[in-house]
Amino acid sequence: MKSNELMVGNYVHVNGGLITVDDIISDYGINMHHDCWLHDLKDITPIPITEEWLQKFGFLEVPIDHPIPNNKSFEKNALHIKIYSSSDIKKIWYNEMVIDNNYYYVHQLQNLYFALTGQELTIKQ
Amino acid sequence: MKASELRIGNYILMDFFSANPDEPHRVIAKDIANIVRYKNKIEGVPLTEDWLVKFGFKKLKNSGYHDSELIYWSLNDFSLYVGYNGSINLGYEGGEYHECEPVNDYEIKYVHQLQNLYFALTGEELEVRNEK
Repeated sequence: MKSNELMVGNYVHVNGGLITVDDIISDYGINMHHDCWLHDLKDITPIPITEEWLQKFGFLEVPIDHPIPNNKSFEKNALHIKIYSSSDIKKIWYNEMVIDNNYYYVHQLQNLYFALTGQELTIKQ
Repeated sequence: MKASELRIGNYILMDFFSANPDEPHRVIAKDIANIVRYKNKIEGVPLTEDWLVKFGFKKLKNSGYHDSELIYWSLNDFSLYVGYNGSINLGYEGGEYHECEPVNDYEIKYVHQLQNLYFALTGEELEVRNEK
């Protein structure tokens, strides 16, 4: 991962554990929430977007026009994400605009949602 | 301003340490900790036509509208709708006349908002052209 991809509040994995980015100390390391350790960026891995993560963020499943088994579509504040069972590809669109960039990870989705709406995407307690 | 709004590479105005509060400062990694601490001394850089030109945006006439004065800005298929009052929103080109419409009502007021929106949608950084 590159440090310019991350924003304070992003969720990532460090050694398999879920961590929230609390501070970015340098181009090589970041501090994490409730954790005084500086973690090297090479130890940080992005979290793949899954149905479970979308639900944690408060996305709701919506009907698909032409249903295919295990393909699902989710929506929150006009941001739609379709998850295809056959691949990692996730189609994303916002209102009428299809978003072409490849989104695979939770921190990318968080930053996209904030950039589009001005609202932070956080885990629902 | 909250540190969670910012990313490395963003342009902001900051009024602490040796920064000139009137000159846009480009955020580097070690700034983030100070921004967390001095969040009340951070402001966004207002988004102006000059900034759009510096980033390489082209000004285009917004066809399909009767008002010939209405324009939009475009860079690599990324569009910015400009409203009658000068407000700027993410734009979407479509419709019969390929006009640019606002995607939503979330106004883009600051340079860092535009930088982060462009990066989120394209995966590319907005760079100032011919920056010294």
